[in-house]
Amino acid sequence: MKKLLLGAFALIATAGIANANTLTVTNLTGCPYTLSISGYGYATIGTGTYTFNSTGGVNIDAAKVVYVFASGTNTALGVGIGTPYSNTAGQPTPPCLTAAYFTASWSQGSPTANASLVIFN
Amino acid sequence: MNIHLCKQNKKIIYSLILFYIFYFLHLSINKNSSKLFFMKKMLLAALALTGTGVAAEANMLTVNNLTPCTYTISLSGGSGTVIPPGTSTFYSFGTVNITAIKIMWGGGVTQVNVGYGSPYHNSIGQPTPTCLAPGGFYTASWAQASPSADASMVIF
Repeated sequence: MKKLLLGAFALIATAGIANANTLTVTNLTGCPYTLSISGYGYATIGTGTYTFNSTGGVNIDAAKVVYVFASGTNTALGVGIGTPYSNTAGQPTPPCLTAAYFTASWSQGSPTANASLVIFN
Repeated sequence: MNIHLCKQNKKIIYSLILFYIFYFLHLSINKNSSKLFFMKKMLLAALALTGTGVAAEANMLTVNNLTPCTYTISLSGGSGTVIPPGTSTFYSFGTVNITAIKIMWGGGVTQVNVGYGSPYHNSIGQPTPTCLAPGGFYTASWAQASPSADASMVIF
């Protein structure tokens, strides 16, 4: 019984922690966005700070940031561990911005490390 | 970050300063003329000047430092020595534009450089500032539509 319990704990420890990280998103713009986050799924965010924990035993290492216009069209960019900077210059400007485009920047030490993402004007 | 507003504000401030300079200059020379008429004329002249570009070769940089660190900087085209945590603003010198920055911690022990053309850089592999978690690093990201446009930067 004891051995089984210890074995179960050990399993939880390796499976639960080995492939799981956290993404912190800071949105400094006045716009809402739809995020498609690798290793997590979809999320809708407003201005401010949000935290996402990866699910399904994988790590978060990239995200797509989409602004959806009332008409249904969108302005989007992708950032991640190998593409840490992207902006939407040349795409339609969301009306909630104070600049012509928005920029997203990704910071992550390794594919399994916690990541942070900042969205700004 | 009210990028376009900032540039507009700067122009308005310039024109107001010009206006007062001319106004008091005039008062000291000719005390008998109609003050109101002269003010009107000078206001129009100042407005015209604003339109033609007193601040044509001048931009500003808005910084948002999300880390708890204070950095020393070297700023191309503008004055400034440190970036504290939080939001700060830097103005370019009169005839040039701000286009790039060197962000140093510990007197240059750790350096990150960003600007127009190279908008992302982090300090991975360099000594970790003591104000960050052990093994951590800082990242700077730059956004600027053209070399003469106002710029914004986030450190995180």
